[in-house]
Amino acid sequence: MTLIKNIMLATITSLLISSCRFDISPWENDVNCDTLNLEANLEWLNLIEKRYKDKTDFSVAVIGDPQQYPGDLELTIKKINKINKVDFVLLLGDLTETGVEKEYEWTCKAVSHTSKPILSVIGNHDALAYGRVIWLDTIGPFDYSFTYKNTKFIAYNDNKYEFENVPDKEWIANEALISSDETRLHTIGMSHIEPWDVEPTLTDELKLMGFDQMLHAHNHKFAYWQKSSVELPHFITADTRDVKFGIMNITPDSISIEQCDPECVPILPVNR
Amino acid sequence: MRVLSLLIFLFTFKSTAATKQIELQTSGLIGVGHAFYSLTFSDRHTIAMGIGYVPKQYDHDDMRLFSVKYRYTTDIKYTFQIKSKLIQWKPFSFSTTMLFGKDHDDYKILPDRDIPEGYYTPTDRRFIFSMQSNFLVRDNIELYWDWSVLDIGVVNYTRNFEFYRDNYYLMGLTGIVSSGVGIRVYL
Repeated sequence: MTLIKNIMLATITSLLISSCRFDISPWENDVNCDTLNLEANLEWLNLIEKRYKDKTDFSVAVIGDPQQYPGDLELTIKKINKINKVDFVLLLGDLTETGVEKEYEWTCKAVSHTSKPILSVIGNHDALAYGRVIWLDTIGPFDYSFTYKNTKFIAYNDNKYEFENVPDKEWIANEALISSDETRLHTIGMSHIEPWDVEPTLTDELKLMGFDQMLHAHNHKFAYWQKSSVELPHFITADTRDVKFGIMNITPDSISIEQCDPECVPILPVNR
Repeated sequence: MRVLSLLIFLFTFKSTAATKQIELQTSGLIGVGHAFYSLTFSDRHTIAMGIGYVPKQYDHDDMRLFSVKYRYTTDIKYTFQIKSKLIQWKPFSFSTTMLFGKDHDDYKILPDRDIPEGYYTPTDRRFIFSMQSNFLVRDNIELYWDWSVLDIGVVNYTRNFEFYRDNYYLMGLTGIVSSGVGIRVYL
């Protein structure tokens, strides 16, 4: 009886100590997370670019759909930390399942183990509930671009169920334009969802805009395809369950993709 | 609809076997304030209906909350004395609450688009799993401390125990638990 009392007392005391947090409702939106903030990560990336300015080749890790498995996301991040050639990580959406504050915080905690900048793209699940407000406050804009070692990365929102008039093709085309004083080696596009069936010519349009490589997630399984008449490769990364991710290797002359499950093997796009 | 009909029947049924209570709780995921009207059967089984409120914030509409709760209170009771005042402690009650949130826009309901049926679970309805520790401080007044976990918290904690254990305190509970306090008046 004394043992039972002690166990009860320990349980209650643990819970009392553990529960200093008063969340008013499931739909709170004050996410305490700097790790995913775009501005901070782009500053970090800028420092890396300056530090290794003579290095022309680089690699990028591509991950997506970590929702409901922050443990596997943490393991994936730790695995990527050990890959020296990777300069930064692209997280291609669905950081959460239902768009609530707590899920954003768990994802944030999982990626806080990173030793490399992380740049995120919004997924359809991230915009549920108050998710889009949380995203704007915590992470940054839905559409953005940056240039790293003369390769331009253009991230755009294409979650048609949650947003109207996406993707913003005019904005994408403007971002893809090469200005007269710019030296650009490659243009890489990234969004959560591959071109929708209702837009069968989007890949053609993206190719005409000047894109060389597209990156997506959403399907939870690896895929790599290109329309044979267009030859714009679309790589879709798997979810991070059991540590899965992609690596994009970039040299001044080429872009290649590796599929990691968790060991990495080179893959080529399949013609459709 | 059947559940609602059953609840209306229960709450309008003049049963002498049920004790009636009014509860007021703050936080624990159910609003700044949440009032329940509840019926307890056999000293253990309690059903409650409630309404709550979340005030407007700079980036958040004010919200009305509605709830249906079932609570089970164990037989474990202790009585102790503080300054000649007898207090009965019922350390464990366990409850499940179905919470509905409503605001003035469509954030928590699905957008009116052509979304395949069943593609999303509506995010304006949540389940909350709670434990309460109850202190009967007067004949008809009980104070309680509430520990609540959101549905997705239970799912994630089960699937990712090591993650929570390694990244949060007290076996990861600090990552998922939210607290509340309440007062229960027996009518």
